[in-house]
Amino acid sequence: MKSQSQSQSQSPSASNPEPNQDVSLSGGPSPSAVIGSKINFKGELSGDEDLLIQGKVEGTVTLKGHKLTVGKLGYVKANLQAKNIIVDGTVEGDIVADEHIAINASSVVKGNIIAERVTLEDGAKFRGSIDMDIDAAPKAPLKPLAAKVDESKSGD
Amino acid sequence: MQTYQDQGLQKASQSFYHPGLRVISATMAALPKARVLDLGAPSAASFKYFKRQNCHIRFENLNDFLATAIAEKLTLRSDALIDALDRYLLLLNSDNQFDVILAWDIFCYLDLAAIDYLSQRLSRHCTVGAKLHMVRYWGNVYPRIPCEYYMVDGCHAVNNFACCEKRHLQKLPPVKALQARMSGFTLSEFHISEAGMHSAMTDVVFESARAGAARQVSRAQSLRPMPNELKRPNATPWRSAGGERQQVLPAPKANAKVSQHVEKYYGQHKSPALEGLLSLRLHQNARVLDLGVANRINEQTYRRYAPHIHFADLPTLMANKARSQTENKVGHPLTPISQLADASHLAISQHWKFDVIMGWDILSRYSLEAISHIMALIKPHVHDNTYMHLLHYVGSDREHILEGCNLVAEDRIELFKGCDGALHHRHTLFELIAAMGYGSVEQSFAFAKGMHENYHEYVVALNAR
Repeated sequence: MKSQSQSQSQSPSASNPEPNQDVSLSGGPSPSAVIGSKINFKGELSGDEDLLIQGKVEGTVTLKGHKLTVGKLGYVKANLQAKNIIVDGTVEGDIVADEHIAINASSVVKGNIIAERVTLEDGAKFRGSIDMDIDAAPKAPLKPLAAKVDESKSGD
Repeated sequence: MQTYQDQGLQKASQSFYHPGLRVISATMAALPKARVLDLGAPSAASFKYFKRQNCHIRFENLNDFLATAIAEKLTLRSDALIDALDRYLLLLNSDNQFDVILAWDIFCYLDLAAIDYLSQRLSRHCTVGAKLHMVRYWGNVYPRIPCEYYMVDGCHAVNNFACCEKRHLQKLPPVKALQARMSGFTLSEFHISEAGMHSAMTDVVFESARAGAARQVSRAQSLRPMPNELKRPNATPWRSAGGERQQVLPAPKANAKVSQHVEKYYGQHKSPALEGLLSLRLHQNARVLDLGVANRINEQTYRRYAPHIHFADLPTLMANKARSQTENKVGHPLTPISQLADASHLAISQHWKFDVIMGWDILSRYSLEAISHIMALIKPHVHDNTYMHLLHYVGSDREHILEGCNLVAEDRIELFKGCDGALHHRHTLFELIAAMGYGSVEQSFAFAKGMHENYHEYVVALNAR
């Protein structure tokens, strides 16, 4: 996993976690990389393996061809891009997946969703648009959320 | 909040008929990739329905916003509520355009200034001819915070009304008052108390007036008192059968005294009820009973659909009976209708069963007792599939009656005002239906395009069993 960031690590288990309680909260088989619940990360995060986020992430997250899971403890203020994305926690930002996005019951999502397949569970707090017309999806790489907000402000 | 979510839709499983959603579904079906804005709480079922319709969906979840605003008592202060709403809706960019907006019961929780603001805000996001659907509560008791609704098919939705904590409030403003505040929209459909609908809810559909004259008002203006000209819309454009554009004459002021000898023409009325009623209910051997006076224009229109037409001339019959009662000065007071001992007074053969009964506004002129008597006389001439058409006057002139209704086409009525000097009973629809005894409202129409603003229309299914 590569990162261009000012990582504010508060725990040594950022990229190679030990099997702890946080991991089990994702509900499925453990992914190979975990951002633990005590990790705060700001910047562009990209990688070539599956990732579980249980901590706080701001910026962009890009995992081409892999699965990204935002666990129940995860708080992500970033645009997300991956092959499959599962959200159990909180996400503020646009979510783009090549295949599938699952917005589960415990999640709080504020942002737009673009994927070929989307599932939305009852109880999810979702605010935004859902587009499953993949042709209409923007092909340009995602920008950090903060930058995007600044641009829209300057456009006004 | 979480408690509300948990208590919600799991407990509510019964779906209710929403006639207004039919229009919404038709709009979605007509467009290749309709854009839908759902202001209510997102749900898996709604999402699945929209997905099947191949729509682009946006959920704004104003339920959450209003639940917080109500808890913080923001709804008590218009300015604060509008400011908060304005901030909340910042995510809705100006380039987001929608063909359909589902507001559910959100507007029930806004005061008039906030309704004005939100309608203008939404009208900016409407495509030409976009539809806005909403649910209105018409009782004194309704949920403390907005209900959750989800669509299960093209005309049914499930709600958690039964599970919600209720509050007692004064009644919501009538739809007519709402219409005046909904700048950027015109009222297209209004449904109440139809079979399968929730008993506490009405269904309302507005259409974006974006293509028409711009009615954009600044937000500052929206907080001012309602201008008088908005209270009473001007002449409504109406397309005649020939296709040329005509203008409906504006109705005279409701409280203006109009003499019997002045111009009696009251206006044109486009009838959405009759259009379907005549073409669908009538057949080769069908019978029509018109409770009004014989009218050649009406007869010609009926003849296109049914060979057997009968005019009961009930107003003349009732007037004659009232006159003879006064002349005879009988010892005990008799209501005129009590002398109509049987249907022979209506000159109806005992074997006749009618498919459609044209009631116009005639029944509502009489007392509830008289209405019950009239309907009892008609009862033997009703079969299981008989429908009655009613025009219901909602103006405030108590002397107003219709002297004539010319059915110039199946969906076009020329209204002629009469005035017999009497102050008429103004029954509510529910009083009227209750007095009829064996009818239930099948369809209701109000303020639809081309309809006269002082008349609502109802199709009542009669069941003599």
